[in-house]
Amino acid sequence: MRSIVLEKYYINAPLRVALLTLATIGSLILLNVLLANGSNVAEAYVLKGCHEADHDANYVDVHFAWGTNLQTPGSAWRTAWSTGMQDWEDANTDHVILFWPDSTSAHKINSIWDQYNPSPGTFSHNYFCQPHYSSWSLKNNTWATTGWSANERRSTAGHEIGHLLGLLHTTNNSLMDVDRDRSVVYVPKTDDINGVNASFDD
Amino acid sequence: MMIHFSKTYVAAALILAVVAAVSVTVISVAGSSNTDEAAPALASHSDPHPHPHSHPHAVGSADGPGVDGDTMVALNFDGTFARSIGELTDTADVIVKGRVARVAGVINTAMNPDDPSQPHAEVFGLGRIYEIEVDERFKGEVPGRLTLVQNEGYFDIGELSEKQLENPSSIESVGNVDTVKPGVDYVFFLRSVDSELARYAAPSYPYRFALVEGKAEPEGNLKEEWSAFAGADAESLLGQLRTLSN
Repeated sequence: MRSIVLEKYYINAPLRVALLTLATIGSLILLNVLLANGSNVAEAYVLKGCHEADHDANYVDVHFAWGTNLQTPGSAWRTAWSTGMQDWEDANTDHVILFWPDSTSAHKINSIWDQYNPSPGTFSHNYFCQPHYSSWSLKNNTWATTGWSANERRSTAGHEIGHLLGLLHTTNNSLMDVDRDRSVVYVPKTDDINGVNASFDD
Repeated sequence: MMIHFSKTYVAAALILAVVAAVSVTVISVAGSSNTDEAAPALASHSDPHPHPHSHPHAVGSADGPGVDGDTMVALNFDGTFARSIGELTDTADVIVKGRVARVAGVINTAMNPDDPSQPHAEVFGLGRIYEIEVDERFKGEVPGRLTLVQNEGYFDIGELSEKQLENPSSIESVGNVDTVKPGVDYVFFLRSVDSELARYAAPSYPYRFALVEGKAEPEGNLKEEWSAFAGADAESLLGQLRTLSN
């Protein structure tokens, strides 16, 4: 039996198969794009593909040495880094994150004054890092942070530690957003925590 | 309305649909993991981490992780990324079109925060000096030549060789920083650091655009942040800046 439509617009069998297949694939791709967009909203974090090396299934251990200009407990930037570490330790991450001061560690956290670099904080690491940073250091730049409040310094410290834990920048007002208001956003937010969970999910 | 579907036709369509669904799902799962590369399995620790979670950074620990001696060759920054030409224009003291006349060596930009007149005891800031010949001025009063200092990485002084410390120009820039290329026309957005020496630096990133084949390509540190400027038209940028200067 042949329909009226098919009588008017006859399409042979192979072409019908091809058309139906294309329609099926197109629908699936459309569905996939819609689903993917939905998941991107929930997962706005961006992963570097590298992170701190010392971890197992439950713990991330960050060993570091205080640099020469951060030797004094209670100084403004030492406090900022310590508080930033505590914020990540207190965050509800799948792995327990622990920071261990170790004067023999080659991983330094330091304070510099550099008027040629406008950035308040820097994370340096070995370039071919996947999956782990074998070398890294964290720095704050006091030239760029003159007059900053304790929470703004804490925000930058936590942000740089976020890089160490495997996160890149976002645009969603999380700790990893470079355009965040540092006086308001200074502890890891849900998206930052989700990002670190994904970073160490290996 | 009825259409006659042969068994072969139905079977073929179903198989193709299933294959397409499986393929798309596999691609979807791989793409949504949000990781650049799959990480190999870690060797498990023999120590089951007996230490408590109680302010460990207040106490000492002797077992620092091993370091393979890799040099620091990449940077990530917090802040200071411009998102538009307007934002760049606002943050710049000087906007010029020009090109590198000479790469004039390196200075250490990392100073002691407790006494900024002194170099840092542990960190070397690689500040490469470029003499820029100015063709056109869009903002600010500048001489025909100015000096640009670009931060191209930080290094632990202990990691640098004696040879590198004697001749810092031999220190290579970190991997994700673009050096300023001689022979290329640029538009520079600059911040004055030392007016006596006519020395300038980046106010934010990106801070310059290479004018190549009709395009204005953003350059500077952290190229992954520049998507807002990708593919800009060179004449359009210059026109925008000429309007600003009039």
